[in-house]
Amino acid sequence: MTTTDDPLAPAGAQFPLARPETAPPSGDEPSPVGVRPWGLRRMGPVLVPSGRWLAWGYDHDRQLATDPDGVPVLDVAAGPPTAPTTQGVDGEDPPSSEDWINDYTPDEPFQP
Amino acid sequence: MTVLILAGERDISADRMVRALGERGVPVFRADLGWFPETLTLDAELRDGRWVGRLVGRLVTPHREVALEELRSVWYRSPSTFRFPAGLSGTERQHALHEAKLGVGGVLGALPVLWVNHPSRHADAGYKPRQLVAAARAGLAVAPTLVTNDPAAVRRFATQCGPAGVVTKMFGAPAISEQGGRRVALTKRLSPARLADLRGVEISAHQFQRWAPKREEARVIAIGRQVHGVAIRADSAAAYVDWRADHDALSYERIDPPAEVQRGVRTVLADLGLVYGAFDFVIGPDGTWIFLEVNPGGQFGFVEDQAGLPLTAALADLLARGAP
Repeated sequence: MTTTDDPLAPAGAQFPLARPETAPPSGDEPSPVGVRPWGLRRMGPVLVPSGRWLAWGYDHDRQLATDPDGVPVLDVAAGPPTAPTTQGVDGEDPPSSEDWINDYTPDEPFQP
Repeated sequence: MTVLILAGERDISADRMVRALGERGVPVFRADLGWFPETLTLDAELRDGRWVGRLVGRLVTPHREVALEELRSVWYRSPSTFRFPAGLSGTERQHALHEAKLGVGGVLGALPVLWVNHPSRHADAGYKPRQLVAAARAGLAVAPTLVTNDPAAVRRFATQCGPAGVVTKMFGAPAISEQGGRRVALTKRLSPARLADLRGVEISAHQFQRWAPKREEARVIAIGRQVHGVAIRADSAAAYVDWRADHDALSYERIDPPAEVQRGVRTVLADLGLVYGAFDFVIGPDGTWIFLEVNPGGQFGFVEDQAGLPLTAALADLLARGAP
């Protein structure tokens, strides 16, 4: 068995892409017990969002994120980029830094 | 020769990589595929069996472009999905998405350069049951695992696991967007009450594993042939089950995985066609390392910061070298 010769992912999934940060959250309500998948019955809210990264931009010249004053974010983050009080693991707020973000491979196009 | 970084705009690890490659004098073209088609253009022709042409970012300033044939490597760092102009119907948008995936993704994916990781290998590696098979075949210890949509099978498995107990975890993203916000479900041990109410198991596939007693956990970052390890120790009940549940309760220490674990990690990478992987292990009270999963796009910044590992540098060297 090799994944190269025998891929599992269908063609459309072989170029996985992440959810846009600007995509609005879904307003769907959970289905009743018995209809909702069991694995979703333990879902809870994301804990302890950080106040950092509330304002930021992207500098196309330097190819990195900046704060409102144009300073690279990786230079102005207080302390190490990993903020232990957040769910993020690279110093950012969720969801962009969460470890599982690459698992999200939307098959539906983003609606602006 | 340029390194292409495909990443979202808000990604501090990508920021670090841009800087690290710049310090090495390596040209970088960073783009998010969410810029396509409005501010990112592909112009590729098939010549002599390979794609040549330009990837052009029509950005505010400066205008930046890269020739496909001048790329040495690509870091596939979770780019966001394509964004299409307002006004398209749902049908048109769906068509545009699939055409973009197959067209842009097809051209980029066919480039004969080093990929970290190739998106198709990344996609395949996301199938955790397959990961477990690869790990077991590589000689790594894996926990007894059940995949089912049959509540009776869940009860049978729980009985087999005995007092050790059972945990449940998602195959894919443990997060959803619902009720106007984001909701998550980390790894949980199953209480008797939860085992008694399995309504909804039959709706989809679910994963259950025998709880692996743990002294601590380890994240192992494999970059090419390099294998870096960090022990993650939990000081709260929630973090003991899933360290992502309570970052405040964690401490980190750089460790060297046993030789057989390092061999297993490299074998799994080769099996899955990856050159980068973030592996999670449980280290049992007797020192046994039990494979949990490998994330082909797993984060490494927190490991670098907390344990002082030179991971950005190692990855930058790999991308600059253009060969594993």
